[in-house]
Amino acid sequence: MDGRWIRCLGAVALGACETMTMAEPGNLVPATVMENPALPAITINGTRLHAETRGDPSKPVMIVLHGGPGADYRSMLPLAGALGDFSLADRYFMVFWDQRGAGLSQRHDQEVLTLDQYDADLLALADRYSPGRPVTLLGHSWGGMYGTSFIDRHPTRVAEAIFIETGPLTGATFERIKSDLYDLNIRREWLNDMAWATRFFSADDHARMDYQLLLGSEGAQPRNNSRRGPHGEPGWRYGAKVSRYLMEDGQDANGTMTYDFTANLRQFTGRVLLIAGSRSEVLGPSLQREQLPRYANATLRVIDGAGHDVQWTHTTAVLTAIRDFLASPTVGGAR
Amino acid sequence: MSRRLIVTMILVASLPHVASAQWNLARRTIGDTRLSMSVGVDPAVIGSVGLHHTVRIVGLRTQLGADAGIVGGEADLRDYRARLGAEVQLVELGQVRVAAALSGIVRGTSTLLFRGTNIGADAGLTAGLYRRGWFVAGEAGFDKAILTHLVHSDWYRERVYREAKDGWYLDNGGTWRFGAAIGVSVGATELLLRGGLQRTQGWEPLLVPAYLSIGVGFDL
Repeated sequence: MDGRWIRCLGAVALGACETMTMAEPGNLVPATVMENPALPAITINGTRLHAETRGDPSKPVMIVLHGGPGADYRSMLPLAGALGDFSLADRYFMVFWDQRGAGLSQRHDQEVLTLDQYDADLLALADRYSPGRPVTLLGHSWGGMYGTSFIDRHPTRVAEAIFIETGPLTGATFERIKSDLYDLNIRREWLNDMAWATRFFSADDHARMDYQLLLGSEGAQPRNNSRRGPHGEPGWRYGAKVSRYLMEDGQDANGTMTYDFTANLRQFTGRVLLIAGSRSEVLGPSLQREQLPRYANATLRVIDGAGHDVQWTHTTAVLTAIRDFLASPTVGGAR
Repeated sequence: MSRRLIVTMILVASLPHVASAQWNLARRTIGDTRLSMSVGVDPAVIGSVGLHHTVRIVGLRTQLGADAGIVGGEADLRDYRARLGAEVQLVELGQVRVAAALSGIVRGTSTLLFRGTNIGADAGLTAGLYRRGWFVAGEAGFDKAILTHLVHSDWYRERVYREAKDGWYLDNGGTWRFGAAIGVSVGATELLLRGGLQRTQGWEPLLVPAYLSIGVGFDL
């Protein structure tokens, strides 16, 4: 063995002496509110949620629902910004929160990661910030599905809603579009990278699961036409378990999606604004036009040139659409 | 974990132990050499080429082997695997044979999140019915990701977590596998089909829960 090999082995051994563990909070993924007490947080229904508010608590409450399931509210924060003299944070008391098991909120096992539990969490949040007074919902993607499900179950607890690029509202719709939604071609780089990564670390704890799931961030849903690269839609951390188990909760024993968030939806007569990105091929204008009649009093705005991440890439256009909607008497009357 | 144990683990993984590829034990004779090629999903699409040589070590017939493979997708040369190992025949009772395998593995990858290098080890046990023209065997094994080095990408730091830590990670889990292999031989050529199911070390499901590969070997 020559000197070069001895130096190489020495370098590896030295590196090994300074090893870290992937499960340690903060190494691969940021710590959740359970490990980092400096993060803003609230406790409801026995879970600790990463949450913060914007605006005057005396104003009507707007609850913001991020996508996923499993993502976080980081890419929704620009919606609290100003558009000239208009700002949602001036008009509403905005509640940003990472849903149960998602983002930087506390992690859980399957037993409490269900659609019923999610409904109970949102109801508890509405009761906490807006007791006896209906709330406004602002959701993106899964957040639009979540908000619609909440309206379907509690129509009197919601005043109005703004849903951006809402996912399929019924299992039947999901089943019909799922092959368009995900690119599962076995030759795709993202899929092979994600599979191959399991040989570098196995997803046996929340940190590794959450980290591993992000490997599909840019490749799994190419027809969303979201912005790619380092300046695309950001997020703090993805909750892999909640992503998996909420999806499973909407399935039957054969794995077929059977959920229905629309059974009582037309009982809700409050105003709904749907927003779509014109370049979002699957969840965009065509799906939103199809889902529009599910609501009794809804209108659709399409943002030109935007993909599924429209709230991040076209924040000004989205805020303009929201401002116009809130000012317009044509759909349900102005506030 | 002590420095001595860590260094020992690295050395164990690096030494020529047992090859995990499962070929027809009944066809191996001392001194023979075989070239093999395989392609499959394990757990990503991977194609590999290997060379194997049969020797006797402390009275046991042992196949020493080495193989190198490239992971599919865009066939990025940074996604690779190299193995060095051996398979030892432990039991021969008529046509029934049992073999144990151990190999040291070096793997590389370049993903959206990180560039990674892994030093791992794979241990396996096979038992089956072997004749010169064919064989069928069951197999079980564990692939341990011992040490993994990560360098995070700009993408990850900008969009997700700026403070992600680069460096060597220990105790990264592993993958259990349980499956079967069948093979047929025609002249100096051997055809192999392997498949089975996989779970993580903590018994969580994997993105690709099964493995499947086909291989061809040539006696040189």
